Amino acid sequence: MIVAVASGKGGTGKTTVAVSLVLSLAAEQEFIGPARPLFLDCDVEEPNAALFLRPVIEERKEAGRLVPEVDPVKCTYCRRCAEVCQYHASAVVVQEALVFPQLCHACRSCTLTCPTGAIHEVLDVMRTIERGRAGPIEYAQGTMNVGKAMAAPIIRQLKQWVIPSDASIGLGKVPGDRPVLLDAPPGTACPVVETMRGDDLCLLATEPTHSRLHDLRLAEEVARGELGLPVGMVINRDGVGDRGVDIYCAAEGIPF
Amino acid sequence: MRIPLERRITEACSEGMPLVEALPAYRERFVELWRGLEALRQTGERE
Repeated sequence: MIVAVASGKGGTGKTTVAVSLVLSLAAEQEFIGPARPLFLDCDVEEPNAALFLRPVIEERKEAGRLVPEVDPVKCTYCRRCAEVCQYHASAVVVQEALVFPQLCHACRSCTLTCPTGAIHEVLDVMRTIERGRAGPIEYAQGTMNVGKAMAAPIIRQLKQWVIPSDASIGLGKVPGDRPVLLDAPPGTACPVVETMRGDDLCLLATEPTHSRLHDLRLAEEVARGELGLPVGMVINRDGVGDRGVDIYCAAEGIPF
Repeated sequence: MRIPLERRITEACSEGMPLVEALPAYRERFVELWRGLEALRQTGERE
């Protein structure tokens, strides 16, 4: 079972919950051998689960995305690349084709639609992805290089790299008894969606305060509303704030 | 599951010690949480 531990807000206890959960499962006799827990720190902009789990990294590789590069000899400045790019990462100014790698989402639209084949792709190294062990727990994390944006592709590559595919139950799925825990980034933007995509369930960690409730609603909307995942809830620092989260969860049918 | 606002938990986290190492009694509660999630998943699939 693949579970993303998320929240709408940073600092609510996602990592505390995810780490505690995986350590507790690792101590259970039934989770040994092929069913040993797998932990992914998907907060690639600021991974911190390693501070608690202290993994020994055994394998490391650079990863990146393919960004377009224009051959000025073949380019006819037809502007087709600029027209198809939904992210405004390509532009043609007079007789110069420009590419802005920072905006590129590596969708390949420009490469595929260039009528003269003037665009080829080069690897833009953005990050390192690592895997290892923390005792009986298999561990993996991604780390973005300084100055690089776009965490979602890293998370996608990290998941593809370490979550074994089982053809009998579907790509990226694991046998039902193997716990896979994903420590999601804060917020509700693309990196969070990428972390939750394809998972079996989302566990939301929150605090019982008004501001956390606001962000919790957004996270619940993404997990359940957009991705159709069952959602569970953990309240951290219970005793502060008010009863707003309780009332909300009762109304929405979200179990603790 | 509810984790109370408790000084011991906060101090453990600030020292890089996982909650369940500082307070081992929580291990069982987290395993129960996992069982609850498994049940929730099955309910979700049925829906």
